[in-house]
Amino acid sequence: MFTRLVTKSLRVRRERLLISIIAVMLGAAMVTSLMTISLDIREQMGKELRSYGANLVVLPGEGEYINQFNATHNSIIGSVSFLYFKAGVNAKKIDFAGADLEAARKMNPWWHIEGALPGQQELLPGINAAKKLGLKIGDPLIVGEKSFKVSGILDTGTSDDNRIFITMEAAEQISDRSGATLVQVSVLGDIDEVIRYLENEGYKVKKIRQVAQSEKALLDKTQLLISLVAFFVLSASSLTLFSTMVTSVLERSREIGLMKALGCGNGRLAAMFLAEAGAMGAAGGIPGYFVGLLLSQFIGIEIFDMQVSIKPEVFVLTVLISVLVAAVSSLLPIRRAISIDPVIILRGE
Amino acid sequence: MIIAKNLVKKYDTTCALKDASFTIEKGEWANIMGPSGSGKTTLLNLIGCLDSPTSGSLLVNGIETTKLSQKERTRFRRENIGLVFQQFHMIPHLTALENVMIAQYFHSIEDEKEAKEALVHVGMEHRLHHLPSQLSGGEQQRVCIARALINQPRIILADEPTGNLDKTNEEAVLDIFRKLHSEGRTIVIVTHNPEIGEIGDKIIQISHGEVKY
Repeated sequence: MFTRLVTKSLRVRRERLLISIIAVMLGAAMVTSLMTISLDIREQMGKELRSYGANLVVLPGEGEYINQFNATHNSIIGSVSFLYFKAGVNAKKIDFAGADLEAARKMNPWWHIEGALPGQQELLPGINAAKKLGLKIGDPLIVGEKSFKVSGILDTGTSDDNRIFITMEAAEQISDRSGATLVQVSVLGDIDEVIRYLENEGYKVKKIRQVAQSEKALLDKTQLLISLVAFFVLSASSLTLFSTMVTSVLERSREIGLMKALGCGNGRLAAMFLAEAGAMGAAGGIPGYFVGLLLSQFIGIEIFDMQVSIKPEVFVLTVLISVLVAAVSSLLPIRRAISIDPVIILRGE
Repeated sequence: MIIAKNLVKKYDTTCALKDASFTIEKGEWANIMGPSGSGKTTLLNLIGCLDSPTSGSLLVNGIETTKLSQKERTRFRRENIGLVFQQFHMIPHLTALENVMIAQYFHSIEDEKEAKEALVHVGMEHRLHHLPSQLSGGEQQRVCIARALINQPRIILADEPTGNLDKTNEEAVLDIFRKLHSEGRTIVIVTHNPEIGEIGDKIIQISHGEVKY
């Protein structure tokens, strides 16, 4: 009977309830966008920041080389040591870099390699170095007393295009040095804490990748803006629901009086109105979630260039918040309904 | 059994009921009569625990109802009183059957079969699934009587139950009350109608809030 009372009551007033449901839907859409951006885009941005590669460069504190970079910190998710040196090629001084090139490519995912990574007797000139020396894939090149073959051409869009990359072993042999002149470090988490840690370990540390910070600031600002909009839209939804419920109580005062005269207790009456409000909340919240999803997809693509993914917890939270807002908005009208005197029924008012 | 002693009901400065004292025995049919504004409905409200008196004592089925809280009065009304109104108040979006079942629901648990039987009892078996707007005044009043009877109340209170009915429907409704009376129910009816006054066992006359009987 309870369900029948609530559903029939909602059905007869469905046209008038539509405005409230639309208001809740808009609020729910904002909540969904906010949560999707907070959860999903933040998570994706974390991944993207990782894909930006290194965000710190570690240099030797004393001396010229880092013999063994063995820093261990929870936030350090990867590191690659580079040995930079100059060597004569065809009577020209050329910059060389030795490294674990497989690891270096992972750390610098924007590297574009035409050909392949070099093996032991191979090298990988940057696009500018290759032009300068007139090198093509497969060409031989003598460096010092060793002969190499060009395995590929590297295009990074950075100053690395001026270098020739070789394996660390080959670099140590040619330069007759060991250790690293620079270590690229990838940090996920509190970058400043890692800097303090590395400085304590005796290294010189430089921050790179300011992009990450500016993207994060943009995300924070977008999130704040959506929070404000969500707050105002939810407040407006709440007011609309409140006025709908007040009107409903006023219009139905005879019906309420009759129910009370027939022995309906206050608890049951409150439960009926709460169920009606909750149903309106859910009726607005569910489509609101899908509208919000479209909105966050738009924000994700237009501002952050990311596709958002569907998270079931956002759906559950959106509907819960919508129902809660509807329930809270109807508390005062319910109090009014409870205070209706059943005597009005006999008075014929 | 209903025993009222020195019942007073005041609204601000207006005294709607002055020292009303009377007794209605179990199974009796009492008619409360008097001109408009004399305090008839006020008295019915007090007996039906819809309102509480300013002072005095009112024993209904052995319970001093003037001492009950609002919650207790609601429960008492639910369990002991059947109400029939002049304007046959019904929930507009519920069918005749559902309007009867709602009283069961507030009382304990709804039983569709029993609700149908109550409607059959008042000759409404052909209108079970009609909405109030699809029923005539007489039919609506019969549904209201079925609703008042569904929880087997010991006392039936009716406020001008035939006030809005034509002669045929008035007779049909009065027949139902006669039947209930013969079954031993206590019936209290507020009425202007002298013909109804003649049917009852007792007339409680009210004039300017004062009871004479």
